[in-house]
Amino acid sequence: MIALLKRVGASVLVLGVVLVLNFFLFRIMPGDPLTSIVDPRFSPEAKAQLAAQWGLDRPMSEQFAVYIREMLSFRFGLSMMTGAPVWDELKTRVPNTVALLLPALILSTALGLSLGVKAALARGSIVERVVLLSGAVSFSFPSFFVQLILLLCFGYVWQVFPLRGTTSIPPPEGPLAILDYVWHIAMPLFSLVIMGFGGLALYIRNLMVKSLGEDYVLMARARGLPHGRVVWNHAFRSILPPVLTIFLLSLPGVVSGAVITETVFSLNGAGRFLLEATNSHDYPAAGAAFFLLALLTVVCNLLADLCYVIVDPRVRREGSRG
Amino acid sequence: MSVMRDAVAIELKNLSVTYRGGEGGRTVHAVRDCSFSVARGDVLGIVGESGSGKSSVLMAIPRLLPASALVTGGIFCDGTEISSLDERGMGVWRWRRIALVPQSAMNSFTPHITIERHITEVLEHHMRTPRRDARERAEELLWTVRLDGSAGARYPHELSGGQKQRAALATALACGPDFLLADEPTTALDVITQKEVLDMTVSLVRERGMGLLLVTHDLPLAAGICDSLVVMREGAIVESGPSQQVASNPENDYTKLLIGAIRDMERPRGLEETPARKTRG
Repeated sequence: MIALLKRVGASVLVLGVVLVLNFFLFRIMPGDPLTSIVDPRFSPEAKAQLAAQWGLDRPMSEQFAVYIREMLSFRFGLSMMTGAPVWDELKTRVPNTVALLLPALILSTALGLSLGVKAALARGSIVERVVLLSGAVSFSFPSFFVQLILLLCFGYVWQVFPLRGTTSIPPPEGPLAILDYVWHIAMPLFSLVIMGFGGLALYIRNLMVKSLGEDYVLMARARGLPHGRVVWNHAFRSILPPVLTIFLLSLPGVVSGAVITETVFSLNGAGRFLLEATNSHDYPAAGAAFFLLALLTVVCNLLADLCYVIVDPRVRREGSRG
Repeated sequence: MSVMRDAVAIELKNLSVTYRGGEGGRTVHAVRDCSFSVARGDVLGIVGESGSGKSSVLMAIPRLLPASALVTGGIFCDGTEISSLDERGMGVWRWRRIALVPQSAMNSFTPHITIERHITEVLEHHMRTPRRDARERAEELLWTVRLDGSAGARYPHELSGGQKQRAALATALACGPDFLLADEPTTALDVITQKEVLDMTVSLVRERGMGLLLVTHDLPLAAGICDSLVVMREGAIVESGPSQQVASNPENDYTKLLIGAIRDMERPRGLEETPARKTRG
C-alpha cells in the first residue's frame, strides 16, 4: 500500500513537471500566435486587442497562474484558432480518435498475441518463419510510408476506399451513415493493425519460446494436462506480467501515433488537432493536448505497476508482507 | 514391508534414443538397444555416469524427450505399447499411471501457481475430483510427505529445496500412479535432506505397492534402496541384476570402476591406504 502511494506521489510529481514544462516550451518555441494565427494584414491595434483577449499582454507569472488553473480544472481555456473552449473542441474530435484507436488496439493485440504464441509453438516451421518475417516488416516500416502506399493503392489507383475524411460529402443519413463512417475509417484502421501487431508478435514469440522451454512447462506436460492448459495456464500465464506491462506502456505511443494517421488520412481527430494547435502556437489547445498525453502516459505507467501486482501473485505476496 | 506384486509392468524392448542436430549438427546416440522391465512393487535403479543415457531412458517412458529425439524400439506399460501413442493418447498414461519426480524440483513448479493448486489441478483433470475434495486431498498428501498445511498455500519460491522436493513427491502421488519415475530426485539437496527425501520416497512407494524407477549416478546409494540395478555406459546397458549382486560382485569392468570411483571420492583426503593398511586388509 505504501509502495502504491509512493508511486502515485511520484506520478503526481511527474505530471507537475510536465505541466510546468508545457507552459514554457510552447512559449520559447520560435514564433507566436500573433504571427501564426492572425492575418498579417491586421492592424497593430487589432493585433494588440487580440493579444489582450488571449491574455498575452499580461505578465508571465499571471499567464502561468491562469494556465495552471485552466489545466487543473480541465477547462483548458479558449482555443486561439477557433475561439471555442478547448474542451469542446476536443469533445468533438476524441470520439473519432477513439473509434479509430480502440478497435485498432484490440485487433492488433489479438493478432500479435495469437501469432506470437503460434510461432513459438511451431518452432522451425513455415508458420514461424512467416510470423518472424511479417512481424519484422510490420515493426520496421514507418507508419506514414505504409499509410501513403495504402492510400495510393486503395484510394487512388483502385479507389476501393475514400482518400480523406470521416464522412462523405454530403453525409448520408440513417444506417447508411454508420456504414459510411466504417468505410472511411477502414483503411486507417487496417494500417494501424498491420503496423501494430508485429512488435507484439515478435515480443510474445520470444518470451513464449523461453517459457515453453522451462522445466515447469515440461512438468505440466508430464502431469498429463491438456495442451491448451499447458500453453495458456502454465507457459503464457507466466509471461503475462511483462506482456501486460509492454502493452500498457505502448498505449501513449499509440495515441500520439494518431497524429500521423489522422494527418495522412485527413481525419478530424484529436491527433490532428494537436498537430494544428502546435503549428499555430495555439497555447491553450497545444498545452491541453500535451497535458492529456502526459496524463495518459502517467496513468498507463501506474496501471502497468498495478497490473503487475495483480497478475503476478509473487509480487502481490511480497507486497503484502512489505 | 508389504510388497504387492502383479503383472502390471513397464517394459522396454530394444529402446534406442538418437538426438539429431546436437553439438556441431552431429547425431548423438544417447541410448542403444536397451531392454529391461520393472513391475509394480519393484524398485529398479538405473545407474551410470553423466551422459550415459539414463535420464534419456527415463524421459522416453512418458514421451517427454525433446522434439530432436528419435526414439525406436518399444515401450510397453500394462501390455499397451505407449511408445506408439500420440500426445493426446499419452495424456491418459501420464500422471494417472506413470508419474515423475524431476531432477530439480526447484524449477518444476510453475512459479505463479501455489503448491496446492499443482496438486488439485491434476486431481480435477485426471480423477474428476471436485475442487473442494481436491483441496482436502492435497492437504492430506502434503501431510503424507511431512509438509504442514500452510505449505499448500505457498508459491514454489517460498519453499526450501527439500520442501519443494517433498511437494513434488506429494504431487506425483496425487492420482495414485502405478509407477514413479525419479530422475536424480535429490541431486540439488544437502546430504541429510537427500537421505530423508529418498527414504520417504522408497517407503511410500513400497507402502503403496508402486513401481519405482530411480535414476542416479550414485551406485552404492542405489544398491542400498533398490531391488535391482541396471548399469549404463555410453547409452548401453553393461550390467544388470539384483542390487546386492551388482554392488558386491560386479562382473563388468565399468561397474567395478564406478564403485571404485565412488569409494575413492568418499575416502577423506590424506587417508589414502598405506601399504601397511593394505597388508592388514
